[in-house]
Amino acid sequence: MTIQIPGYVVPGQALCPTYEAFESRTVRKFISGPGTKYDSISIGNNERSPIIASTILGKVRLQPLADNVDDPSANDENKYDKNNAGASKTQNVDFQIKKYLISVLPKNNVFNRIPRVINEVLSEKLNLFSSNLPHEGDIVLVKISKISIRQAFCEILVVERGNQFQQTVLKDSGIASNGYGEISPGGGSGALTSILATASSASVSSSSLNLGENFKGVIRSQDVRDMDKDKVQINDCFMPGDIVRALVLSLGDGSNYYLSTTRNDLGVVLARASDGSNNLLYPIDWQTMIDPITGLTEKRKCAKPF
Amino acid sequence: MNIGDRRRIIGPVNARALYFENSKPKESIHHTRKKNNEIRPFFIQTGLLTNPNGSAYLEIDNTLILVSIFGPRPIKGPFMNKACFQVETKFLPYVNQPNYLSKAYLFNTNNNATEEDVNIRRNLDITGGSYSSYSNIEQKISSYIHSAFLPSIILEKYPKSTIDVFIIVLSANVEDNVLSLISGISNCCSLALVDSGIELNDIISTGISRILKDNTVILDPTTIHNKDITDDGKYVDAVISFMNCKNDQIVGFLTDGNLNIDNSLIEALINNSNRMAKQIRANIDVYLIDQISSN
Repeated sequence: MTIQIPGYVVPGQALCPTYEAFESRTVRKFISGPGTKYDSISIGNNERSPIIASTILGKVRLQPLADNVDDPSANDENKYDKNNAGASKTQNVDFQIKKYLISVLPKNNVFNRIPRVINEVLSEKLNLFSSNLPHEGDIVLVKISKISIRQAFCEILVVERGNQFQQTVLKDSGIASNGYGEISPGGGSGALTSILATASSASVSSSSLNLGENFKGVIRSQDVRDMDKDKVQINDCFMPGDIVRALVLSLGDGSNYYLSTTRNDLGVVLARASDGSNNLLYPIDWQTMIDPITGLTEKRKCAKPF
Repeated sequence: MNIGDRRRIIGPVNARALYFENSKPKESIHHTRKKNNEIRPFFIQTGLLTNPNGSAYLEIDNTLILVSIFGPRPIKGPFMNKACFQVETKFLPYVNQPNYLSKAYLFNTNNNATEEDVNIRRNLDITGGSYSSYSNIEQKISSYIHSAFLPSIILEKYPKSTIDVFIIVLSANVEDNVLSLISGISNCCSLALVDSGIELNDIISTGISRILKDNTVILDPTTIHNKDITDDGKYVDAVISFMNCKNDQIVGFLTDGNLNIDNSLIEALINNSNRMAKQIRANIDVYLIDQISSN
């Protein structure tokens, strides 16, 4: 007997138990993926049974885990068990555990492209931060907004996760995320466009906030490169307007994420000439970019293009 | 016509003002009597607004509610490892705010408040009291929604962000029960939150029930039922929010009325409100599943 897993779910709906006796000597283990969480339901007499429940509205996706590929013992056992290659790991001679990742895909498919082949460790990481906010260890694309001697300030545009980009900005960010109510104490430029706003409230909020509501980041001079850390000149590495590929070091303080470019594949990926021509610059080495039309070079900390 | 007024384009000299025939304002519709154990039909739609991350519109009788969700969006200030959740309710300027609240409701701690106290409190509300721009009702609704939805939203998933809920009452039946309005708003917020894609523990569904002195139960009481209570003047209303998929956990509870409340009455109120909440939840679920499975 197998349980029927629903096709489409609403938040709070139970999807499946965490373990299920599947066929003879086979147990299905379900692992909570994006859009789901571990939960429990009461099954009478104060007993509770562990289940996986949905947290968003969407379509259920069940995918077998290609588990523990780097675990040699698992590979050995898979050889004997060709029927279930890739989807199973024999832990015990008596029965077999098949692992599945269960996730819920929302309508706009934020998590649509979960990597095809994933293992349990990766899947747990996926679920930890299933929202599209930047987290530690993520690669992000940022736009430099302001530089100082010690650090470069930037806005986070997208998060790169599992070979894809996820937008962190709201639908209307970049211009103004316009709630139409009163402005919330923590932020928001709602008052600018509010139907209830008065001229005075709009001026107060626009002066206290930058327009646009992206998450902010900062690249400190010691996080630009590993070599000669103490000699880094921020203005030789970034200029305002550059698009930079960076690694999220930490969630940082209240206002900024801390980012780093201390890897060959991190740094400026797109920049324009500052001579007024606005021409695209191309990297010629890791710290120089050239404008092919004028032939002028500018200094940047470039990302390795390939 | 003022000939000296050169700043405006004035009409021709022989112009006459438009004349409208005297017409009576239309009687408000939908005031047919429903059965006591029925709930009123309601209209819901999500995603009407494109700027916010999620929005929902709900219509019951003459009550029109629009909720929009902004978030998760970044906040300034100290580091927060989970999202900050804020609710804001506004009646549109032309909407008459239901100002009817019983003494017991205005003074939750003191049921013996004199008429004078109530008047002072009402005046405070009109002048704004300590909160400048929100009326008493707007604040009450906001705080109810805030506390009811807090257990549902998984705030840990959204560090350094804020989730803002903006509730706009486009139209409200003034004579209608405040609690009935709250239940509508709460259900609309649930839909908007689902639409925004913010991760939730469960959808909150809210029911409202009234019990009269003779133990008559009325689900979803409307204006027309206000006449019932004039007979002896004793009743109690309760608006209760549930997480139906989580063993009907109660996340919000608000009562109004002048009947003495004891345990059996509370139980009856919970059971009946839950009955209504479950019906609403079923409707919401069917709407949402239809929506997601159709494309």
